[in-house]
Amino acid sequence: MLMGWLRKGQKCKNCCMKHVDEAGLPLTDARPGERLQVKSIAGGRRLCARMAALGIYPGAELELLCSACGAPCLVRVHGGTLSLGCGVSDKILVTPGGEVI
Amino acid sequence: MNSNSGEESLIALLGNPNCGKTTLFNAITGARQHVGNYPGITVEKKEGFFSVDGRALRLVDLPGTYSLTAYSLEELVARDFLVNERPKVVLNIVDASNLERNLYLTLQLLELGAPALVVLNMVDVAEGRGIRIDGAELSRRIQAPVIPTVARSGKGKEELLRAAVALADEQRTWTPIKISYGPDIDPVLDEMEAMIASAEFLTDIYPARWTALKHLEADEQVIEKGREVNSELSSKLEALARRVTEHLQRTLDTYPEAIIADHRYGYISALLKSGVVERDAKADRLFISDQIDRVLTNRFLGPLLMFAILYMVYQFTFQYSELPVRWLEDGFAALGGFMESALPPGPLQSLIVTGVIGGVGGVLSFVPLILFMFLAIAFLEDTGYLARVAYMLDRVFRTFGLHGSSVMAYIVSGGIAGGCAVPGVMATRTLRSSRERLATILTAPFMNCGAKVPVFAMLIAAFFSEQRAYMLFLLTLMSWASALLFAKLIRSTILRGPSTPFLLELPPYRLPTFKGLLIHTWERTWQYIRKAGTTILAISIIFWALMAYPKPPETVSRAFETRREQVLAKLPDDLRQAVETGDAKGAPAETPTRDQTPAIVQGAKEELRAIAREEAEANLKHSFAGRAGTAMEAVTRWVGFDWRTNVALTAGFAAKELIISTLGTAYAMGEVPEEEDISLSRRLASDPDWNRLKAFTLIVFIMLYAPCFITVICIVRESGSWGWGLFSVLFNTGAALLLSGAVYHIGIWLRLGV
Repeated sequence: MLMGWLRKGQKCKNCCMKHVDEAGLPLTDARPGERLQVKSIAGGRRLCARMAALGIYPGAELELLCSACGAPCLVRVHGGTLSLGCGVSDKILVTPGGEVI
Repeated sequence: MNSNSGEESLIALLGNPNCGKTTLFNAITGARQHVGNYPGITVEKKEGFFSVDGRALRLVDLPGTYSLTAYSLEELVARDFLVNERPKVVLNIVDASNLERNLYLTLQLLELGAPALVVLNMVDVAEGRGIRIDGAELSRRIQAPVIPTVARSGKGKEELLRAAVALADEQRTWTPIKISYGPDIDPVLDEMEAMIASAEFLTDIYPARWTALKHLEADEQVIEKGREVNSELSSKLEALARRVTEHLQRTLDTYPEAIIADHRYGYISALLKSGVVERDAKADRLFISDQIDRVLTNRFLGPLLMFAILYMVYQFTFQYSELPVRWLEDGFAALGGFMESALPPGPLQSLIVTGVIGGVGGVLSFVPLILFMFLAIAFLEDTGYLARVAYMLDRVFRTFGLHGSSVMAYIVSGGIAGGCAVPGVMATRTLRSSRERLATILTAPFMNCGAKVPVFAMLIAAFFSEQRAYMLFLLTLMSWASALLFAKLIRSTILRGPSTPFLLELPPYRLPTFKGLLIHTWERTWQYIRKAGTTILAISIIFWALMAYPKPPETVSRAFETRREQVLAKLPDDLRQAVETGDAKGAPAETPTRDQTPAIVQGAKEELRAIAREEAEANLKHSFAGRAGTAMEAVTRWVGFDWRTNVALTAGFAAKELIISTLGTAYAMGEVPEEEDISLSRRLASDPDWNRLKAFTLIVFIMLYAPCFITVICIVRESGSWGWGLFSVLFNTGAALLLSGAVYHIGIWLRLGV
């Protein structure tokens, strides 16, 4: 039963941000295994500050380990692995690229 | 939390979650630690005492935080402790394999001006990843001592302690470092700093520049405090901060926080440049931890393995604790038996045997269970797997307003029939956000704990004997459904509010240290024994009194006495002697002479036993509990319960196991031992008042109604307020009444159960 739950709706509800422009691509739409650079955090100031404390800030490089696992995103930033709920990863706009650390 | 300097020097431990802070704390203090809560909140406060070269030191383990801005309870606690208690030294634990992010906190500590000592922990892990750090150079650049350690093995501990004592001896004044935040922030920051310094605004707590910075970062606690102290200056500062924010929004489409964070990271990368950090590009970037994760969090394999692992935890907890739990129970039963024979019959004997030994014994018998559960959870937590469970289940649980970590509490509480809500409620400690945690605490008791199962088994045997397995499965599903749905209800009414965004660090897998596991397990178990033990003694005595008093009037007991005499009078003299010595109270007396005694004696004994049971029933009905049960009929008639069921359910509040034995007494069956509930089961099955519908209604009620008081005490302890304990009693009973009433009336309407 749970498997069904997990597979169902692998995309978040709010992921319909199709307009990929200069602003970058929401983390939820990026391809896993890619190295990415954070372009901006499209959230409130609280979220911005919290994410910065976790090491995710404009300019930071990260690696998306797993996105559509039916669960929150898994990202590797610096040396650590973070899992981010859809509500959060949706607001992290990224561009592909960034140097391999 | 006294701030007397005395002879003990206060040392605080600060660091990100999962940086090895607790491991280091354990390595330094060993078993000499004390766990409590910060006043009024559920954040654990750990203290330890130790000495170095005759110097007494007090070490406080602050909650793991990523920053010193008040975004969460943990951050608030850590910051308040630093500024209010003014520790002599702050040991800032830094994960060497994740240096940039860990230094973000260090930087804020230095901005606060605290006497910091940077503990470069897990240098072995970092080296394994090809990262080498020049501690001496880093120390020179940040103007604070840096000591490399490996907390797991205790490497570097001695150097660390010596450096800490040396720093404490320096009696350094708090000197904040100054970081430049660029042309957009710096001018206004300087202006605000000057205003704050000249007005001595909060300067007794925070450095002036820090207060200014917190205003720009919109830190609610600091702003609030400022308004209380000097509302005029405070509003000026707020206006300045607002102006900068608006300006930044307009020109750069960003917030001050983002600029501040950007400069902090810029400062950090400058710190680490040219020589401090060396990276070996050849090092394998795919660490073992990631490879394990590929399997354990795999889309298909992950959930399967998770269920297998959770099932193993469950099996481990309940199977291995079964024997010690039984030993303890037998031990207390033996003690009770001994006291029964040692003390003369009467109120004192009854109080000690039933009230004290029965009540406290019932609670202490849980200790092995709690111990094994905490050991299993500590293992999952320390290896890092629990974070993965939360990660995988978050989507499902989020739908119901809960958190991925809630699953552990549910399963332990009886999500697989036969658990226990007491460790279940305590298992919610792994949940960090308070709303989800409370909702989990309040709904976990809906699960079918091991004490409810025998009651269900008895009722199923009486009325649903053909559908046994099916019924138990149905009941398990029902309890999950009600727990999740009521959680949803609670989260969308009294605990309304957005779910905390799911942000969880998945620590690399590690093999837990044996010492860490033992300390972890023991401190939680000991809390249970100490705190629950005292309250429970009081409540079990109250329950004993409610069921034993008041005694029925003289005339009633005399009537039973007369009947007893009549039975005896019918016997010839010599045989009467045999009956009386057997046991006048009619308890089963298996004397070896049984076969030789004539049938007439057996008959008389049977009669006496029946009289004793009837007397027990009469006594129970006359007691406070019995009267309350009778009075409750006014309400419970609606769901079809009479006073007997009511008394049994009331006793079930003391411990669900008591439902069967009390029901036995109320039906004049004598005390029914749990294993021999067949007779009660047959009695109910043949009772014209009972039918399948009534039995099912009772099952639903028992599944949902008030948690036993041991659980309630735990709820009170874990939620930090008696209000939530009371709420759980009322809410759950209300829910039980409503649902069982619905079952009963729909059943009647459909003419079921006849």
